[in-house]
Amino acid sequence: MNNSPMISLRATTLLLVLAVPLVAALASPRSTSNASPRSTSNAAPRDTALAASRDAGEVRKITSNGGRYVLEVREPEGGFQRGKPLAFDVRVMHAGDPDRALTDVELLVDADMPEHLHGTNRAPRIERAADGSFHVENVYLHMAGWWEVFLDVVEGPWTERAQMRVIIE
Amino acid sequence: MAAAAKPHYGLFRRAIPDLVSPEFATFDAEGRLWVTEAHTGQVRAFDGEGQEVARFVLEVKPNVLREPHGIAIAPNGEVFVADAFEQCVIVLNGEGLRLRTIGKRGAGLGDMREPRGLAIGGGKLYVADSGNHRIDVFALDGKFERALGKRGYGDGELLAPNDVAVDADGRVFVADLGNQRIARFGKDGAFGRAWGGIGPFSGLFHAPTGIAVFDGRVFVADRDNHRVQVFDGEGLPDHEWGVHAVRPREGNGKLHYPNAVAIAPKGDVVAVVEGLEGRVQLFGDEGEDASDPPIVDRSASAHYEGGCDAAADLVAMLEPAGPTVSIFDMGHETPVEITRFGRSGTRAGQFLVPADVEFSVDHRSVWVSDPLVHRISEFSLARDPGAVLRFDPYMARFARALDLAAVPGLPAAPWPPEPTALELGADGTFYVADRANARILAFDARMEFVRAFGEPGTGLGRLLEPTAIALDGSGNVYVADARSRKVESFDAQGKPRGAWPIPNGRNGDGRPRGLAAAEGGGFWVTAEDASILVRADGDGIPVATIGKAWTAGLGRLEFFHPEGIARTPDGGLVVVDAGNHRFQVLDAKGGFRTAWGSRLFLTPTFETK
Repeated sequence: MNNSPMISLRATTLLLVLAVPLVAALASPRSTSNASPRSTSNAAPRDTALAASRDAGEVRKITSNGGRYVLEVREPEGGFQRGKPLAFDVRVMHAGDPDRALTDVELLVDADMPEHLHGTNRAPRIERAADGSFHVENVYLHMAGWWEVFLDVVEGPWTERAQMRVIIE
Repeated sequence: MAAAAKPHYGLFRRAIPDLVSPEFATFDAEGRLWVTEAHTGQVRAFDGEGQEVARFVLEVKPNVLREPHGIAIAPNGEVFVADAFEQCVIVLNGEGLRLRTIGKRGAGLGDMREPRGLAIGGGKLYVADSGNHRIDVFALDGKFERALGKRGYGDGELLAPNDVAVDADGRVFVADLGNQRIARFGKDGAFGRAWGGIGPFSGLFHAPTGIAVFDGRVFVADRDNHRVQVFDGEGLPDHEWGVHAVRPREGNGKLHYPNAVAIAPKGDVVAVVEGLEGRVQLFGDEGEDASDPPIVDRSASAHYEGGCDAAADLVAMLEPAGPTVSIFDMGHETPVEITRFGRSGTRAGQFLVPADVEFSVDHRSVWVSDPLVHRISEFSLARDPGAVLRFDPYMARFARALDLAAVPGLPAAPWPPEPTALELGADGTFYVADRANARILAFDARMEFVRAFGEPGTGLGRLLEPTAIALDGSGNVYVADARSRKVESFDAQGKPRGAWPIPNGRNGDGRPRGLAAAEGGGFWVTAEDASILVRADGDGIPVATIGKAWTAGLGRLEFFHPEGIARTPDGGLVVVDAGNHRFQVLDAKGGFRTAWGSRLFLTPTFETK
């Protein structure tokens, strides 16, 4: 892990989005081998740097760590910044049907600093929009360093994580 | 005239050694210390000099031992004992004759599951009903009165409470083990306050398992911090004592997993129960010699417990004291830890008390069970076997979790599933032991629930405390049932095939803890209480024993409270030698290959030829 070079996106912010290889298309919950105990072998975490810089509000796609979902994240206005309540929008799709937002899942959002073994000191707020997307507010990255923003998709008994790496300088 | 200073405890007086799995203790009005031994079914009493003055063996029926935990003595001398075998409280007279039974296994009010600590105060009996996450209050004649708390993490809620105490004002103090805190309820049952949290510093806990109150102060056995903490009734730290034993088996004031505490009626003696070490240590007032406790690094290290797994050149170990999972690369002369992950918490990707770990079929991810949150979680491993060998703290990533309480199609049961043992078959069938409901859940390769088998009770096909699962080459399922002291076997469809006791080296049955299919048929099993490893053939007949029974050995192929085991791809074994803070690796013939863990516990291993 962490083999790929990181590309600086802004003077103060660098965002890595996980590009986990997709496996078989998923048509329904636990309907493919992707849900088996051997499934995440193909979805082993592998960080890939973004191929291009982006503008504020640009949409990025993230595949969940188990390979089941694709999430579209519209970045905060001005990008991820330190010491500022951040807001962004998220759409969740099955990896096998990436054009249709799921409306029967829940989204949980958290942030964590793996090198410091602590998280964020505020609780994000999440609201669902009429089109099934989620509006996330109050994500607060209170110090510089390596953050992982967790986007946990809850569907029935399953919770599956997608995550974004954010480096705050 | 100024009030006399309250005692500052910590002065070691004497030890009562050679106990077997002592769990709880209490003093009677005459100052005699009563101790329960969970694994021998015994209640023993000692005088002030540590001499045994009484011993009762508690049996459900002849040769079926009860499992005594909490103990309390009423003003009239009746002895109340929590029994985890029948899930009730039994009341004895001073001669050990059973007078009556209070409660029964169940989730309803007045029922109980996994009763732990007891307390008597104001004419009431208080039961730490661990499995129902509440305190049950009874009149001393057994009439149920009310329950305090319910399952949860918030104010007034409890998670696996392990002990309870009542002060002179009728306030109820609870060792809220799963929430790593102390909770206080008023005499009227209303929630008062809670304090604690997980951590090593004063006022924080790492497994608060025992509690007692005396003269306005609260005493807490802070088990995994290896100390006793003393608070005032509001939770303000007063003092503490206890330093982790430096040398193996060290006592004389050093503490090792103190799990219960009791105060003598005059307040001059504090009894500290150390179940793992099989002893009780008695402490008194340090007086003018009282000093601040030393600053000790209490960070967990090599406290390997619970289950383990092996696949390819990897071994996964649990360190519940972290709580963390460690992954070792075994392709070297000694195991090399290549990553460690986990953090305490209830959110996805965090653990409360992980119980077992299981590699996926392709061993590029691991599953971890966590019974108190009803969850099994999968973590992917980004490992490149060809890369430079190094410790990578970010190798593992939480992928997903399955909330067993929300899985559709499970047969109705009194409690949400509490997953402990995990075992994954080559065909992708995933077996999960449900501790709460004493059954095995089977999922197909897509993690769809397919069947449940086993049911609570004794006898063929019935389980009480499933702790490990193993699969043989024919698809048969073996289940270690610690409380029933047997290994139960089912066919792939869940039909019972047989049940076999495990010898304990003392002409009795041992408590099976870890289980692995043996090369060529049969199985390996650890008898945790006897500290031995037993191999049985396909008919359950013991054919080999490794380790010196009941000797707490430190050398090669010697064990102290061994727990999980796993078969390596070449037919060898990995054994979690929990009481020795290490794991040992055996070859296919049962010979010693290597070991890893705490340095002081490894040295004798490698010095033994």
